[in-house]
Amino acid sequence: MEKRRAAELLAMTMVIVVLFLQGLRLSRAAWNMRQPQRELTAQALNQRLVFQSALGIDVFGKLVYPLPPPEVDRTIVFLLRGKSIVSDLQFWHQVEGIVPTSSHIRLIGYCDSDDCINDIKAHREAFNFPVIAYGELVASQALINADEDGSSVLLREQWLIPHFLKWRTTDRRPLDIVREAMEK
Amino acid sequence: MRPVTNALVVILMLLTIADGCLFLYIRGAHTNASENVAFLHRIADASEPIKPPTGIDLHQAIVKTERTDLSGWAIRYASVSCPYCRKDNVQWELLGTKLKAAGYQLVVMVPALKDAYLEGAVVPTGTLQEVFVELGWIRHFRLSATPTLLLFDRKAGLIWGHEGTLSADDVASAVRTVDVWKAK
Repeated sequence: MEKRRAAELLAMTMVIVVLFLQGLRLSRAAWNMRQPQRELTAQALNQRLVFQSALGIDVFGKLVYPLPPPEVDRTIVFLLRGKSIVSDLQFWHQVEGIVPTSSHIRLIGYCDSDDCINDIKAHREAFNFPVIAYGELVASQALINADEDGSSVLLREQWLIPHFLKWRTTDRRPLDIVREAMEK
Repeated sequence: MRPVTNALVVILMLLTIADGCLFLYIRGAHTNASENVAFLHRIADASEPIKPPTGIDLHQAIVKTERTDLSGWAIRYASVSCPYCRKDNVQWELLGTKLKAAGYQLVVMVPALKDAYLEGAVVPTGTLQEVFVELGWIRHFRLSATPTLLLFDRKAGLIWGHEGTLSADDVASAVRTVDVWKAK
């Protein structure tokens, strides 16, 4: 009789342990289903997207090919915002002007809106770098994420993941960007 | 021995009730999750007007989705190399056919050029494919995982969204949401 009761108690204890563990799992799932948590998870997942290559169609409808010419060693990719297009363009025009030919740095811009596209079309003579209007979804989102952090993306063929160059801060000058890009 | 047994029975009952409540909460939250689309928006741009997505197809031609006779747009973010997308194809075709009948334009967007579907492989028939997408559209959303489905009303407002493979409940929820918005 005693043995049977002990066996019953053991069985109940095991069921309790299983229910407790299941409860923990469900609590975690319930926590993740909360809206603020879903937003944080979505944001964290999106931040993991990696910019791998600048492939797209530029503002004039031409294909921008991701493989750089053989002489190019590094590519700086940046987002031009329609809201600040004048100052953004001025900044990268200055960068283009001070990049030494021997540094083999290529510049590629992305336009974030119609305002930006219209402005680029109006000033096509002012600069030589291509500006992508239609991009790949992963690369474009990775660049938008970098830009939200005030950064451009520095690519090099030997690197598995890109580096970031902060430029949307008041203390950063075009010369700092070029210097940092050459040193990395 | 008796008090121990009684205590275990009480714990067992409490745990069963707690697990049951958590299960019901998660089920309810999951059912409503697709109608709460805030997690797919980039917070900074949630209030800005959104245009229908213009993109470029495999032949580098512009895919125009701006038509006045449409009830809305369904954007499926998917990849030819994603096993979950293949698994999801049956439910997607079922939902896509219903959406088309309701006056929706179906568009497939891919993460990158290498993920594009060959011509004829995009389902259901008549679905457009955008390989490159306008950044002005991309910057409004967070598309992190394939498959993801977004439904927009005719004013291009996001009314329904789902990350992951579709269940029969998700299809019913999407159809219900479209019907409600059409009636507005």
